[in-house]
Amino acid sequence: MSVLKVDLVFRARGYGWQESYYRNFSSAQITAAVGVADTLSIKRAAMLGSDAGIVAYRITDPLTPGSQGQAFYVQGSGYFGNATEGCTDPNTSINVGFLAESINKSKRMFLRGVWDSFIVEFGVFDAVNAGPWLTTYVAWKSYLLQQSFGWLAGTPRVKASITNYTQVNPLIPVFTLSYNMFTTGEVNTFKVVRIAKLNGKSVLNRQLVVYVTAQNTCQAAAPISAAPFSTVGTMTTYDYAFTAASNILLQRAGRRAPGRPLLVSVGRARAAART
Amino acid sequence: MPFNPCGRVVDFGRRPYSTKFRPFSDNATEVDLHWYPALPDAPVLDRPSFVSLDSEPFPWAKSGFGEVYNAERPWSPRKAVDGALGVHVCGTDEQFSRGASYDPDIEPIVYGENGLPACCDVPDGIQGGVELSGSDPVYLYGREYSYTEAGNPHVVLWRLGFVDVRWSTFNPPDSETWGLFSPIVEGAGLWRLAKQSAPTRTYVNFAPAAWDGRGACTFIRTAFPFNTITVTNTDPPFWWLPPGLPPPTA
Repeated sequence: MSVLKVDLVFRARGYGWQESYYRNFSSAQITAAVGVADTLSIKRAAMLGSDAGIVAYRITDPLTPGSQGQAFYVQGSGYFGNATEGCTDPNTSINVGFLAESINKSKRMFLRGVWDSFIVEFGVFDAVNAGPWLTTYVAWKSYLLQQSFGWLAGTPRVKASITNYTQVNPLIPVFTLSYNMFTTGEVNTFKVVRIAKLNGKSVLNRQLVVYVTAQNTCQAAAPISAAPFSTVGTMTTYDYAFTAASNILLQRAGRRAPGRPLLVSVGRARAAART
Repeated sequence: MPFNPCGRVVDFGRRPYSTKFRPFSDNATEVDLHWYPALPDAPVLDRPSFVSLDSEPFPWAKSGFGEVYNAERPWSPRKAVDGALGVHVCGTDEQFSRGASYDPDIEPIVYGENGLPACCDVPDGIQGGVELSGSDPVYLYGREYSYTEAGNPHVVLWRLGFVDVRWSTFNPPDSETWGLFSPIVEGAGLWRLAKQSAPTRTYVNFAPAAWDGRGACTFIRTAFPFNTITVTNTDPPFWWLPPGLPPPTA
């Protein structure tokens, strides 16, 4: 089994966004996911207004080191939304919750490109006009559940005390742990950890990517300016595993600013606007 | 690096950038990788490949073949490479998906001024003003357009979609009636104008043709005996396509 990620690439008038979907496949072969990605694109595009469409998708293996991905244009010029319903407001989105069977875990997704007629006010659906859109939503949701889509969730694995840290180069914190928390296979790789209670309050108390230099030492992947070590803290490692959704709930509408269209750099566009 | 997409679409992103890249499956050697925009008509690579870490949720989990996590990723000012439509892709499927085998004895790859290796067969120096004047006789010969020119012969690449070919309903040269030659405009692919030594029965004049600076003719006026060409014919022998390209859709 291998978890593959399907990114759908959306484009609307003047803005764009991507949505990521995860699913277990019997093999890591990308060709196994192409048919699923096509069907998913068609069902998702039906929920869009006429101003938006899905122009491409990308399938990757997010967790396997050295693994490959592949980009595809969707058939023809793209899968476009409903011919008569518009989706003019780029900030309108619907918050959808993916729930795991245990109900202990959930994942939120913001759906954009919602029909204008569906939203009366932000947070309120139009019950009269909801029917046709809800039909497309139910088809999309049913397909995701039938195909056992889900998400990658981090689970705490082991915890160790941080007995000391120093800073080199000059702002890279190097942590010393109370025991060999990392496995030998994790040495010389990057890992995600969560640090807590270090120095009481510290900028280091957060999720951090570290480079494991030995089974009981690691260093931050990027420079962080922190005060010298004073109080012992804890470091927890995480394992990421696929969690299948057992239900998908339509929660509420809201405002959420989208990104720039594909191939448009946010930073460069803002820089140009100042001139 | 022994493999190169030669302008085909490898991934979708918001910015061109450069970073470090490990191209080998059995060696940690790092090289510079430049992501640049593909031409609008470039096809996708059509095989599993390395992708950008920009779109990966756990880039730190990646190691070995591919982009180097935590390496600098500065903005790259590179533009699309003229004529780079991936007609030929260098390397094998295995090299794109799992990396190449390191061989220190292999001859270094020679890169042209356009940044592409010679095996891509994308000629350098295609930019700039090229004008096919009315004085250049152009011949329709079998499955390919060809033209003769003074001086050294060279290959000219057209990208379909930018070619605006109009045909005359009367015999040249006095025609003023022009119509859209839709099969060419709607097609997708590449036209190659190669020097042709032997003129054939069909006589075509390419009147002044603008060049968009990216290896694509933006406007071409033609005048030719109408009854020698079947306008609705979108299949060979009228089409000429380089090996590996699918036939254009009408």
